[in-house]
Amino acid sequence: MRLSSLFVLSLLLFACDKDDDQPIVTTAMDNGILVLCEGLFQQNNSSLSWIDLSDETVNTDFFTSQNGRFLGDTGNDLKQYGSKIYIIVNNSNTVEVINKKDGKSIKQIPMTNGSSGKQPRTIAFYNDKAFVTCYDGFVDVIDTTSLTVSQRIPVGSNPEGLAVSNGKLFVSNSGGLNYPTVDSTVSIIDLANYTELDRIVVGKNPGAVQVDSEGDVYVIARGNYGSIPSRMVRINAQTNLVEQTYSFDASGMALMNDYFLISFYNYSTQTSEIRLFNTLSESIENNNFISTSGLTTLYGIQYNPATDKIYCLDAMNYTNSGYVRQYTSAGVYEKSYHVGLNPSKLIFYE
Amino acid sequence: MKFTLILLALMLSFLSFAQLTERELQEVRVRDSLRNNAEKVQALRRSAILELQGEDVGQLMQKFAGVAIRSYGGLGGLKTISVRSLGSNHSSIVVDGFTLVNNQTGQINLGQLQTESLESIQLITGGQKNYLVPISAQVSGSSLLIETFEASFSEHKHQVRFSSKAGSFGQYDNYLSYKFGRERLYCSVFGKYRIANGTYPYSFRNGTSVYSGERLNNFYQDAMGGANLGFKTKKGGLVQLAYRKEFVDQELPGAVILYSQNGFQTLQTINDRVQLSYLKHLKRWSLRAFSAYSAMSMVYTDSSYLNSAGFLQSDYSNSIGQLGLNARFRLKERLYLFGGIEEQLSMLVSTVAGIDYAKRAHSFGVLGFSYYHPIFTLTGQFSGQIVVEENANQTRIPLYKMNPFIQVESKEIGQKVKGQLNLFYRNSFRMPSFSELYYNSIGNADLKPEKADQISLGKTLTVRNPKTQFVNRASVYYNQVRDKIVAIPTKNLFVWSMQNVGKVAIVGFEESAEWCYYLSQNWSTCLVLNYTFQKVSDITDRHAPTFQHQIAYIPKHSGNADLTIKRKNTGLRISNFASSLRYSLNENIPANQVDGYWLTDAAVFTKLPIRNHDIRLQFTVKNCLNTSYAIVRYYVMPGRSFLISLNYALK
Repeated sequence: MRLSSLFVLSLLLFACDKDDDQPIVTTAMDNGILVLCEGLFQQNNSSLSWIDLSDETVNTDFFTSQNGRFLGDTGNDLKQYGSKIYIIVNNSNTVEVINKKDGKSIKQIPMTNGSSGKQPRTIAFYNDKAFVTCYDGFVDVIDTTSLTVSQRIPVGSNPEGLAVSNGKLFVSNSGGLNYPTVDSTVSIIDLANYTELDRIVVGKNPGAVQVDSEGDVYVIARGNYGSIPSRMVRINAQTNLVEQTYSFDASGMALMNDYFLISFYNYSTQTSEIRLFNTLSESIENNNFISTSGLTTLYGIQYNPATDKIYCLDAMNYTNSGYVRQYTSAGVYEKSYHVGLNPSKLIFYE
Repeated sequence: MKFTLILLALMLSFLSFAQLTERELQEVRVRDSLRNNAEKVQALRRSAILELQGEDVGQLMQKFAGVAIRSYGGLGGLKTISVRSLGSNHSSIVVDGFTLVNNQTGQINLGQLQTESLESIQLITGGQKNYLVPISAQVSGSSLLIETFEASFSEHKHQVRFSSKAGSFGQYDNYLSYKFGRERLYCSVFGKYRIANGTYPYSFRNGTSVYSGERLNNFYQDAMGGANLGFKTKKGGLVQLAYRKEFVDQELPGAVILYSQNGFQTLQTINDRVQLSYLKHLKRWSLRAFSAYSAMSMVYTDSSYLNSAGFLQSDYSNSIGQLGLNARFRLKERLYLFGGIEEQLSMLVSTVAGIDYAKRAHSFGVLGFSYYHPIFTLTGQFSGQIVVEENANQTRIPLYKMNPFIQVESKEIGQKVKGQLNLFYRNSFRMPSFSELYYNSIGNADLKPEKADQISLGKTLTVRNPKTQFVNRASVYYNQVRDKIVAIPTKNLFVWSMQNVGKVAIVGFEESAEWCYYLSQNWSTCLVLNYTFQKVSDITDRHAPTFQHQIAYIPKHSGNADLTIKRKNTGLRISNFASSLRYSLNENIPANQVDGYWLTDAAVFTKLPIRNHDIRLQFTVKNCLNTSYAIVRYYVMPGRSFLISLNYALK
């Protein structure tokens, strides 16, 4: 009897298993900023933060509160196309398509090939198709109506960034997983027939790809994180030729009208630089456009044309939650919003 | 509920059909080296080890106060311990008088140390009671001393130990050992094989929904065998020789990744180890000389790696030689000097860039004294270490370090209730591992050693009479770890590197009590309780968001409550472990919370002693309440599981 009471007691102790259903809050999504926070690799803690600009509040658990589940592991890209928002969740091997109005999931597209993941990285759009670089050496074509993968275009190894210009898709082949023998090419895909027109050499370990207001394509060749520095390269989208490799350090580019905001984080000195690059004159106008003294780790930069504000994404030490820091278009600091872990991409709502 | 009733009925039936034998509370097989400190240090002995049916030493260590276990789950999976929150590399693991060394990772996987042959496990946090343990263990932050059946003398001519287990998730485990013994000689051989498919179901909360699946890529098998020889020479010397070989073939399931299958990695390990020791007690001297050589080769594969080859394979080969000399000398009646030297030479060769070749020569020396005053014992030691190493690219600047240790122990006072106090200060360090120094782009060859300081005050109370046996240990301590080696991203989120950036302050309190009571001729009961409080704060940078936050994965509160009830030779043990919530990262915010958990195991066992034969049957239900939990976030642990074990011993 003593034993049975003991067991009953222990059962009672554990009967109160956590099952506290949190109410799902639907926030009206206007006048705010949607922030993709990458989280950390293998921790399933990628998240969306919603900054409500009307009352300056931040919901750091926005995706979960709208969908009742987590976003997944390592969110790499966030872009809007029409009424939908596409989130590339790299290590979960999904493309999460959510409704722009309320953040509710429309479809979670699996990005797997049998049991192995394709490791999607970034997304770009053209007509009724979305193009997703996949680390297994392909660009997947997703139909934006049916939200299914309709085709796979073979490119180089471990494709990273991509952008559309002049009816062509420019895809950087990083070859990052073959380190130290990385790739150094950009695949140029004809969007009329999804075939590779050309593969041009731009420099070691190409990553981000950005198109300027004139249709020129810029790529960051990240080098080897050592003796070969990270450089910005300009490609002529008409001729498919590399026109110039710039001599300044660069790790990211953000379009601001006829300018690029060029960010660079120096890992060895742990300092950041933000340059202003004129895309019309194709030259640097200011090497120290924004003072980065208030930034710990510059992890991304974006410009909101509607409000004419610049946002710097601060990843702090990567293991602490980050900040979205707001600046005027002249580079004057205004305020910060405390968001999730490793903020990397923004979508602006008016 | 239905299950609980069945279990209960089963246990009660076992109790009522109990067999008859002499009164026995705890199988006290206190070995020579244990006898001196049977109650002053935390220890588990064979009877308790059998009752717990831990799959490995890692699981058993959860029963110790002051120990935080880091387990990635699965049979044979990586398990390490952090004693008093210093970190796993600060603890030495000593098996049968030899320190296990792995300079590649700096960690010994306790998930691959078997329990079948264990006679005892002791956790030493203060000074060593046995001054003949290797110097490398004497200078580390703490040490785990393990003694096995195979390497001990026995009064019996033939001894056999056999165990066979079958458990959930396709687990089978067989061990056989034979020992021939004479007064001056023992000679033993053993072999072990275990296998598990490791495919268990799991479910956990995913937001407000539940995510469930099956643990995949979790197959494990290992086989090991060895031989031991020991003899006493005519002049009183003791020679011990041992050889063992291990094969481990395991799949690495990795963390559960939401919405995607993970775990395409495998690891094959082959280990060879030979060791020799000579011990002699003279009138005023005790001397021990030892040497060991071990060779370990590992092959890691990842079939999901998206490089051009579509496959990643890394081969590692470690060779380690150890040579040591320990001595203790009675200078005066109350004053003993002790000391020794040890040399560890290790070499790693691998196919991984940066770590393709590394060599280290680590020399240890200790000089100390123990003064036995009638009311206290004062022990002091000074150690010196020299580390010389190189890899393919560079030779590191030789490292010279001196570290003190001092301890005062009061004499045991009292008659019915005996009490003792203990105060120590230890300064120690741990070397960065080869992986931390050289691995690919992650390694940082400029790393400094990680330093630790410990101040601890403890008390022991014991009560022993024919009806009751009671031991109570309590300690408070303050530790600091400086130049803590942590991984931080240095090139991008995927390229991390090791840095000496952290400083950690640890305030801890441990309390443990073992209480055994003989109710009658036939009935006895034992209750073991322990509780650990640890406030482990990041004090690296006053302005950082994590300043004074609890360090990742260290619970503030944890404890055990184990109850054993025995009637003659049959008994029931209910074993509980609880841990408060932890954080997966150093920032103590809700998003990083890893839920606390409570585990209950229940076992019924019966022994059938027939003359010299001991047959022991046990049925264990692990995680009775089917608690869904993870020690490391998303490394989901199994729910309720069953284990039937048969142990046979020929005395």
